[in-house]
Amino acid sequence: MTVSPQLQRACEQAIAMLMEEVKGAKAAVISTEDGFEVAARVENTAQVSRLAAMASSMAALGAIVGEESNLGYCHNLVVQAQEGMIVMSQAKRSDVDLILSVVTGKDAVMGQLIYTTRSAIALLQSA
Amino acid sequence: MESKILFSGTTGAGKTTAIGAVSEIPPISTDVRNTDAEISKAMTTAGMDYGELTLDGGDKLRLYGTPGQERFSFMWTILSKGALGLILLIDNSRPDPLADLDLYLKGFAKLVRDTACVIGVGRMPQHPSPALDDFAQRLASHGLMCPVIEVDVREREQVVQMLELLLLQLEAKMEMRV
Repeated sequence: MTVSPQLQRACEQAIAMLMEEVKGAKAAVISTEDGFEVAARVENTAQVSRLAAMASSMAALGAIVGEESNLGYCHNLVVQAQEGMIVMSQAKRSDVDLILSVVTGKDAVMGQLIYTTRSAIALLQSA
Repeated sequence: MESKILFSGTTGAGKTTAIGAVSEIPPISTDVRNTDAEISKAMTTAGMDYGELTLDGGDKLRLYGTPGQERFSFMWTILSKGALGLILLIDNSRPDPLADLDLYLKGFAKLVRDTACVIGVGRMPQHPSPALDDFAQRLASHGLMCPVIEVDVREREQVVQMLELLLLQLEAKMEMRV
């Protein structure tokens, strides 16, 4: 999957912002809604392509669960695990919808993580 | 009795269509826009499909469809849990349908070994090769014997026939174990 150079730059900016600003950030991945990696940065050896595909499935499931429960559009999915958190958010665009996934350690702060993720989504949607 | 049945197989083989053809509830779909230029379809399943069907005998089937692409194979594992059988749909218009069969037999090895499996081959009128016998021989090379039938998943009766075949095969397996 190739995106426009302008969108690619915006994706890389969003990834850089998240890795710098989110406390405890370990990985950030932007993928297409059908699971292809567009941009990523990871601190460890996490399998980026696997995370991209999983985020695609999770976002699709989150969207349908929201719809079926009459809760409307699904903004974020949050996984709170023993050693950290993962937030997956969707950026709606006319050309391609993107999924942004951020993996953190347990020192992350949920509010700050969500806030920064929303800023990154706004960047992706306006690019 | 309620049973969980899984539909899997190649992208574009018609898993979403098959479930939609027989489901008595509005099917749940997680289709998203396809960005893969190698696949000529607008939408693709990223999470799962879901539908329900009550057979004449009263058995209720919960029908789950997997994404087809191998990059979503983690969903194959998740959705296999608790399934009583697998319907594997193969698109005979693809470059190497027998290799596709190998891929899914490997991906669902435990489910196929432990439960029942039916292979449905689509688009045979336009793409008659490989023939059903070729699929049966490939299954035999894996030490497996499953029904292999030609199917048009847009036709409700043909999808129901596959499900009934699957249940028959499952019953036969259970009787052999008793």
